Amino acid sequence: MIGALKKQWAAHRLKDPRFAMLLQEQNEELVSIDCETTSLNVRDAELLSIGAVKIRGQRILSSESFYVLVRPERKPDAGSVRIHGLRPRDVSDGLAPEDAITRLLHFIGGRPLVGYYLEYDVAILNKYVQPLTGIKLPNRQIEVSGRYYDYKLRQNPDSNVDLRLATLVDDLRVPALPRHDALNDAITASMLYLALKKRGFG
Amino acid sequence: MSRFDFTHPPFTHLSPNERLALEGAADIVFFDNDEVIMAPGNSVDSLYVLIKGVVREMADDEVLAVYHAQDTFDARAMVAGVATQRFVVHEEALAYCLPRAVVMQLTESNPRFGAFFYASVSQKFGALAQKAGTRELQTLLTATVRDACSRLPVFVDGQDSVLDAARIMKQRKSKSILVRHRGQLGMFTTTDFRDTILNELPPSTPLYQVCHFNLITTDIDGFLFDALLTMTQRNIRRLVVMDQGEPVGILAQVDILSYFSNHSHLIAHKLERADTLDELQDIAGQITRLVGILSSHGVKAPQLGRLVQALNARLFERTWQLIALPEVVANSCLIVMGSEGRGEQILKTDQDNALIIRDGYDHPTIAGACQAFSDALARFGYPPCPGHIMVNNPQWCQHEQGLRDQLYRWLYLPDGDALMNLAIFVDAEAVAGDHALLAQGKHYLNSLLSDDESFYARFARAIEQFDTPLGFFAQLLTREQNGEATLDIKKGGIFPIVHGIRSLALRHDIAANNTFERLQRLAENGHLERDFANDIHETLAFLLGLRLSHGLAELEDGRPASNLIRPDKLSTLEKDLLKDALALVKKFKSLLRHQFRLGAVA
Repeated sequence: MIGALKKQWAAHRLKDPRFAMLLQEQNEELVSIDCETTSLNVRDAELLSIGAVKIRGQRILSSESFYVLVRPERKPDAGSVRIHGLRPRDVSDGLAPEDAITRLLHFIGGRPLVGYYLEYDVAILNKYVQPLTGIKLPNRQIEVSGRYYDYKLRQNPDSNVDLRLATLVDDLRVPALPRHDALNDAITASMLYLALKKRGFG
Repeated sequence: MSRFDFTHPPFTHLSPNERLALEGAADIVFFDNDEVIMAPGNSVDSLYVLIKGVVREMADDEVLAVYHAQDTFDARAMVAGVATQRFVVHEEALAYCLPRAVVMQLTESNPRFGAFFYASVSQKFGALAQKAGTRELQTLLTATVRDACSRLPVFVDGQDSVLDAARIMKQRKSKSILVRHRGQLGMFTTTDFRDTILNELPPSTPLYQVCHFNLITTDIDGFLFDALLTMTQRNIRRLVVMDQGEPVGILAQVDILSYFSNHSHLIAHKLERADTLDELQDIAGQITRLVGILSSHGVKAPQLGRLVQALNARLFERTWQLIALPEVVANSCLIVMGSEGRGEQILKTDQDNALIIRDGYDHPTIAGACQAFSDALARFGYPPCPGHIMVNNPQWCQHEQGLRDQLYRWLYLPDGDALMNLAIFVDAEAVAGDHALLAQGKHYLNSLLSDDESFYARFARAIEQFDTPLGFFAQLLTREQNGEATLDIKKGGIFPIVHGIRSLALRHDIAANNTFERLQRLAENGHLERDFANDIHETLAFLLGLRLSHGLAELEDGRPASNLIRPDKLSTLEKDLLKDALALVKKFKSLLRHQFRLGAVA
């Protein structure tokens, strides 16, 4: 009920009919997503790269993955370059943010989003999505760390759950891909999601 | 940014660009425990590469193979497009899923990858179709062009234009066509086509002007390795196959490579033609690589053992012929013993060999030749035998009379090593020179053996030397070594079976050397129950396979192959199988104790 109302409201606010597909829910596939940014503070952060991959049933469609570099307005600061390895010159050939976001939105469509600390990535993306479309990302969001928390709590009700990515990767026994590459991180999140889904927490 | 691990075969043969293309086309699939990935009759449109987890290949209830991380399955099903076995997830599996079209494209564009890939396919066929026997050797000696040639020739007329040819090649998906021109036969290939463009010839050029008429042919009943040799020598990739003077097909190099499971035929051929020790050293290295390739494609340890034995025997023979004078070779018999004699030494673990010299013959060069032979083998990578059972030890380089005296002493005046030496000699196999000398020695040994039950008991007793590392509640008993829990698979499992079967074979006068063959004969003659013999067969095959895969891993790490395995590195399934195997070893030992009344021996 409330969902339907929200949707109507969003449809009303949508500026650009090109993005109407965002509001058409497509539940047979999911999209796992991850961004690398210039800073960890949502207010200052600018996009550097976006990686996304579709999940259909038990299959991660890495053959149809999405990866773009984005040209930020300000140079990435030295501290963040150390983490993601994207130097200013690496992203200088990147797409303009609007272009990158438009492509991403077409890739995602109405599919629910999956991610590890997805809230942060969605907040960053919304900084670009809202001016472009008039709405925030309307897609359903599946937080891998949240699902993991539920899973651990079910196993062991009084425990402190360690939610670090390395712990999840280890505990759910998925292979450790090289980290801090947006596409690899998106694939890692998909593998974590499938492992949790198998355990009944999808 | 490579996620896909390309450091294992067959992907090692890909170029960086091909790797990127393959990675781009790969999906990742997650399978739950006990999920069936494919079942007989299912259509198969992809090749799986395991990232994590364990998958079993099953035929009904029998486990045919176990796949771990980095293993690829199932090449055969993918090529055929339909599965013939069931693949079941044993432990949550995550796999790359490579589309059939992309893999097939790579096998065509990259001949090395293709050869390796098809090798794995035909290997699978062989390993599944022939569980026993020396299939591999048979194919290499008997395969004819007819077996491998499947390309029907496409004929055009010499007056047809290059353009016509291009159309036909596209339509028939052929890379080469045959040209008939005034009673002559020529060939036009994609390479020639390229040259017409480079030479700026018009598309209307008649084919007879640009094709080759000096065709190299092979007879359809000729041996396949001769055809391959022709290609190698002439540096060409295709031969025209003739049947009674008529061209009936085209044999491409890739056809041969895909037909042969591996390059063992080439190794054998090279062995015959090697003229220096350096060449032989090179070939010895190839044998180890061959074992690695075959093993990684599912060839089982017993068959590998027989193949390596055959190749090693020819290697030793050739080495001895190069080192010793022809008259020395003719008047002596070079023998291999122990695991090499039984055909169960797959990796080069030691050299057990000896020389029997004809009575009344002597030559001053013999001692020097023996030393040179031992040195050469050490150079080839066969570590010297710790017990010094080698031709450069005078005890193992004797005249017939000396050997007879020695056998007599070992039997009736045994000292510390006598029974072990005897056991090693029982497994002897002649490799060079006059094989009759060994036969006479063995005959003499048999004539000495009487019905003295106490001798067989003393002989068999060595099985009690080592405990079987399986505890009361079927837990694996390991020993700490450098902080790691290890288990000696030879002492604990392989030796008791091998020696027990050897004792039984000696007791019942069975001439075979190979343990599997001895088992077969013992069962045929009613000395062992058929079912029990089969169980022992399976167990020994499993233990040898386990030792082989561990040994190969050690060699890859640059360490010598050992008998120590680390149970914590095994999969759950392998651990269970190992426990079953050791339980059977225990059962076999108690049967031997009973048969030889070992409890009664002081």
